[in-house]
Amino acid sequence: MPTADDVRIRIEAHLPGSTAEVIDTTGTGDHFSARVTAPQFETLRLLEQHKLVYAAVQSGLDDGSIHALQLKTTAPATSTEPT
Amino acid sequence: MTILTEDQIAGEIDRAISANHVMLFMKGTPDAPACGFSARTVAMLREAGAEFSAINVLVDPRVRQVLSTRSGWPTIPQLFVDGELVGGCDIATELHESGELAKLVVPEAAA
Repeated sequence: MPTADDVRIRIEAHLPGSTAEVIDTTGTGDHFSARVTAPQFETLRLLEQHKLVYAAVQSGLDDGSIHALQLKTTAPATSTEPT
Repeated sequence: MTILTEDQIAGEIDRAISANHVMLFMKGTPDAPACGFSARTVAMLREAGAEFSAINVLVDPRVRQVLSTRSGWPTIPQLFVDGELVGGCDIATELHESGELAKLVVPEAAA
């Protein structure tokens, strides 16, 4: 049963430079919600952004250990002002 | 009852996606959804005023496998408009909140 931290580590490892906040929405280790900011998202549509994050946890989705992963994705450029 | 082959299932999925302006693959049926995410997506489509068709992926586990292989999207629900994957419940939610969902699913609303 993956923990929220396991899911966070998998997402951040799959998308170098990204930051993910993951919560276990049911406390049962199979329903998660993630807020992900990644430079890879910059030129991508929402659909492609979500596909990238799903790919990070594909094995868990395939074997059923992760039932649900709610996503909120943003590119760094849209969430921070240039300095 | 006829047992469909995987090729026949793929054909049915392709036909459903191309024949319906708004096509939803969900767990359960619109009036008896079997999952909260499917239920929310149905509710949003109804609020947006969409006419849509739905297929219950729980009728045969191969439906979900074949669908996800074709769409590249691992979870259910999956919403298609004009033959294109729009996304799952989270993307539908963002589109609904911004008002774009209605424009997408109700052709007259965009005009």
